[in-house]
Amino acid sequence: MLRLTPNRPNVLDEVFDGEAVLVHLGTGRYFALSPSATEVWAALGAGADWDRLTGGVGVAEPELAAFVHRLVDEQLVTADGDLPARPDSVAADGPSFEVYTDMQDLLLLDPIHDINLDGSGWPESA
Amino acid sequence: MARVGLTVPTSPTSLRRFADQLIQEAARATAPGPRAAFSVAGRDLEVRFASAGLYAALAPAWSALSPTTGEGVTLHVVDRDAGGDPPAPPWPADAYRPRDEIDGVGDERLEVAYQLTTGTLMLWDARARTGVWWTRSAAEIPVWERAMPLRALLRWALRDAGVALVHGAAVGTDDALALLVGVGGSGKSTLALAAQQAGWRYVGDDYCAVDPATGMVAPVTSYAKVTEGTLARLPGLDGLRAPLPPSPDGKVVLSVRPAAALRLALLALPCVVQHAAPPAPAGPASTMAALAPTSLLQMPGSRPTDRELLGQVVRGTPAVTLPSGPVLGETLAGLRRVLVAG
Repeated sequence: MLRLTPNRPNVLDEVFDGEAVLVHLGTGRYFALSPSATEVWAALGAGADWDRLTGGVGVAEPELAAFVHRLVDEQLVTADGDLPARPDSVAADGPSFEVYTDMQDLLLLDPIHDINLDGSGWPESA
Repeated sequence: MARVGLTVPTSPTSLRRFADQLIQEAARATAPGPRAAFSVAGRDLEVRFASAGLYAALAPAWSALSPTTGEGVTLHVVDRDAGGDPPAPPWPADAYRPRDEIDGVGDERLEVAYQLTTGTLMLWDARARTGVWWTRSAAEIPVWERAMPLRALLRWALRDAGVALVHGAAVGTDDALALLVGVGGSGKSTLALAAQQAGWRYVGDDYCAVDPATGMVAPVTSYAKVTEGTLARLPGLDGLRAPLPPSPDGKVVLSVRPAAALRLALLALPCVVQHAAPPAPAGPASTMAALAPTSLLQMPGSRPTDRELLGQVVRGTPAVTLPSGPVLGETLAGLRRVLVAG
């Protein structure tokens, strides 16, 4: 059985009037989910596994599979079990999200190099 | 290069012991030193400094904030010149992460961060309502820290009091305020300072404190930062230059006396366009997408409570887009119309 779990607390999520906004603290990317994607996200948050998703959210299986792959690719969920095959093509009106990367630069500009410790146990001056 | 690291994860017990010892040593170091007390959105804070040099570097930013009314949280500010080294950390050498975070360390009860570039340790103990900011040397405190001091500590302390520290500029009319939110370059600071020059009430250009329960927005610093381009567009700002060097990104620091807290009436999402257009309603999801990432991703220790507070702000406040063209006065006129209309 495939279980998909929202990657909290690395992902902070908030739902407004059927539209979810997700912020991934680790990657610096954030996401605006479509209404059907928000429905899937809410079901995952309520503990739905793949079987319950396919039977419960009113989204065709190929579109659902494609969306789940995107969630995994973006580290928004963790998958316990084998993912369904990634479909070659899906309908355009399936669950989706917009990805915003403008804040990602903050993390990319802040690399961590090797740390040398001084005699007190704290990192030496850069 | 010698690389030192422990192999065991940081245990809650060792972290608790470290925090207790750090607070004790910081309190000892700051006991004889100067103090600054101020209030943010009705929450009182007292900052105790270990030296006059630290006070001179940081306290001016709070000089125009509201006075305290009672006992609040305590923040200790220490440097190694005055207080020596902080106690040795209980986490391994490879735990340092981007955004000043420490891998596997910290939660809403006990937040810890370490800024490698300045050698600054930050700790917030929610149980003791006490924070510690322990840096390398007062002489090395960068200008961006002087302009907006102790940002992470303030954020954690305010969060515990139900107040969100948000990335946004805030300006308004006599009794209603607009919070301008969005990524860098969307025009927040320029619009806020144009409003200040036009006689609007000005609360902040970069960070503000928002109390979702009361709807009040309060300033957290008396400084603003602008580009030379903004100074050229708003030459009246030139007289507000603070006696501080430019920040590394070339921005000039201004002394701008903020207004007291004002009632939040509107969230505005500015964007720079060729031709100004009237404000248009914005949905809560797009508003959250403008507000939350910049508020959550620029500071260490973002938690679900921070997201909840921002969500409350969005749910309780109407929002508009604010296409801003070359003539700032046009954009401000459009914003004023929305504010007046309520």
